[in-house]
Amino acid sequence: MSGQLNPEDALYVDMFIAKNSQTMTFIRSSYSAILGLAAGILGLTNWSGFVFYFVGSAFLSTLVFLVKAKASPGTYFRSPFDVFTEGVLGGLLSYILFWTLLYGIIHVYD
Amino acid sequence: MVNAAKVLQDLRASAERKPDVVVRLGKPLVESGAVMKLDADAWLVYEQVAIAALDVGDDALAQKCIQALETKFPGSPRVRRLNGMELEAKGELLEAAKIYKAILEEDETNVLAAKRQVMLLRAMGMNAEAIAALVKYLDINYPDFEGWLQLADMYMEEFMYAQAAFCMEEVLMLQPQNHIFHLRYAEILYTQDNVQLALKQFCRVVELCKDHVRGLYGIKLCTSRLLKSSPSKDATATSQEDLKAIDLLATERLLAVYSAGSAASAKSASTKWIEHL
Amino acid sequence: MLLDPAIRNWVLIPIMLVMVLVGIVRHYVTVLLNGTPKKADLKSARETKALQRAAILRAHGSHLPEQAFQARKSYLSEAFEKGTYLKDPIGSNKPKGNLMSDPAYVETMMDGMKKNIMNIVPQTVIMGWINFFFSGFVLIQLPFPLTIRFKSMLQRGIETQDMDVTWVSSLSWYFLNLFGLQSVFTLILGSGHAADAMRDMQAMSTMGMGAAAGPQMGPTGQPQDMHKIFLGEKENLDLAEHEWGLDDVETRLLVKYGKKPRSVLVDKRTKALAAASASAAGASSSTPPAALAATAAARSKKARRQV
Repeated sequence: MSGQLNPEDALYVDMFIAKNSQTMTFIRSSYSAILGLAAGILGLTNWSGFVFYFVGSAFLSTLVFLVKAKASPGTYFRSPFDVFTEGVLGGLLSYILFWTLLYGIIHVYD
Repeated sequence: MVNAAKVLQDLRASAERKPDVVVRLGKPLVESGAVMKLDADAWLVYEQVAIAALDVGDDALAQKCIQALETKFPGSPRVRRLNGMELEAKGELLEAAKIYKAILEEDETNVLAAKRQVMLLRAMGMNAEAIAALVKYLDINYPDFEGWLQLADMYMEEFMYAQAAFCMEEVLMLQPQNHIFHLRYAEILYTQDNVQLALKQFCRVVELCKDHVRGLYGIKLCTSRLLKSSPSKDATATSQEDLKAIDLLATERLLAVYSAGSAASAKSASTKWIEHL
Repeated sequence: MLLDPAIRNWVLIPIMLVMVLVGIVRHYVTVLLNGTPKKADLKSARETKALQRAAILRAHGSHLPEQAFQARKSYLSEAFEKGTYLKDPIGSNKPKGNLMSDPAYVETMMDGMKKNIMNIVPQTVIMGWINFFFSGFVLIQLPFPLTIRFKSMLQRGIETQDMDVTWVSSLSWYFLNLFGLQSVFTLILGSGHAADAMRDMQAMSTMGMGAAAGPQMGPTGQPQDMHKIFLGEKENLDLAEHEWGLDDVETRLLVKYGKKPRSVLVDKRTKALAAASASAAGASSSTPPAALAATAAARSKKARRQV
């Protein structure tokens, strides 16, 4: 944005940034859990499982980017790449959990 | 009912003062007892409606809410502050003062009571004491920009512009993105005859908020005064050429803003006036 | 087909369920234990706010005109040195020896201990429970491979040499749940819940961090010397330079509305920096002109992108 004296920090309202991160993490964790369930049911193993997660994650990020952030994530987050990186690792952990769970239930057990 | 609760919650989050909305939505909730369905939020709603009711003058509603809160949280300083506010609304200022003093004696960091005490002193017309109390409060609670705003207001009432400017500077440091605060600072500077600095601040206002009319008027006033006086030798002062350019820009923007969608007669009147500024 | 479904019914699901329930219970117990938020001490609050004041001045000082900034800078420097904001004035020597006698310090210690207990106890109990009841058999197959080194950890209790690392015991299922359920708890309990293991691991390394109440604690648990901190902040302040953001605001405004070309800004910036370097050449703390010219070029590029 033009006319900045300081780094763009002055323009960002802390409360909104926090709320946005929180929403992003919320979306991502629910989505990762469901993705994990899907991966387990499909019986994905090894690399295909991880690829599935990252592809799905990227898909979600793009959706949020286009639909919710209206292609200008700079107005919602401090750095435009936050849309893609926020909460990915936490999501990965719950993805692995649900993936293992469903995989076990369906393919390993009766 | 869910919608009403959501609206009330949003108002609490944004801290906007819309007592009529709150009372309109909250009154049926409180009177029908439906507010209890909100569980933990119910008490927040009670507090919110109580304050709004005092604002619009509905003392009975306020009384009801405060009563409910007292039953649930006996002796709580937060409820006692509401009691104090109720007394203030009824005009019993000395009684209210006693309550706030008691709360502060118990817990000297209670922000709510300290703030009410300051406003009480102001309501009683004891401006000097109010200012002293607020200064003391701000010495401890530095990042409270609303406190600084209030102090600036009080200094302006007393025509102590230098101190008011100091307060606005603090506000600017705490909330640099808000152009309204820059505007107020600029106007104080102009009143102090610090035209050069005021001009820069007005420019900042327009920079932050495009085509801000009050900012543009401020620019016009400053530039017209600066152009009439002899050019300053100060290196940081705006050059004559820049002054003229800014003056022209301000005129142009003002005309643009006023000509968009106003009647022809109004347009010619405003044009004439702007060019004479 | 590969494992007895009874294992699924009696081990897999129950462990998960138990962990979820224990997490929720732990959250509510922590809330109950913490009770009413502590009353903040006026003087301690004042100390912290004073530090904030200096930080804000440094961060947003560019919005203020020169004299205002300098006035505040000198006032705060002096105040920090004299210790006007300190809780216990420098003159009074509080015996630093016996810390246990300071009630606020003890309270913060108790706080930290309570938190740690609430995290360690459930973890240990559940681990013990699992080891006691559910050891010695394979629970589940991980859908992804791991290296041989994990074999000893994940297959504790199952003494086989050749089995795939993907087949794991109940303890590893416990660890999987421990990490994976974090986000589930966030969904159920809202953020800031007490069952956040990541936060616990951070908290364990900075034990005894008091919140609004109590004196400030350093990472080692010793009450920090506020005076030293103030002096450090004073130095930062002294070093802070005032760059007035409104210096060329008129030009910026003209450029914004297209009355002047953008190049004017770049020129003005380099000119200003050159002038600054020329005047600073005589001063004690000055960087060599070459370096300044380099920063000027970099800055002018940045200005172009920013506007």
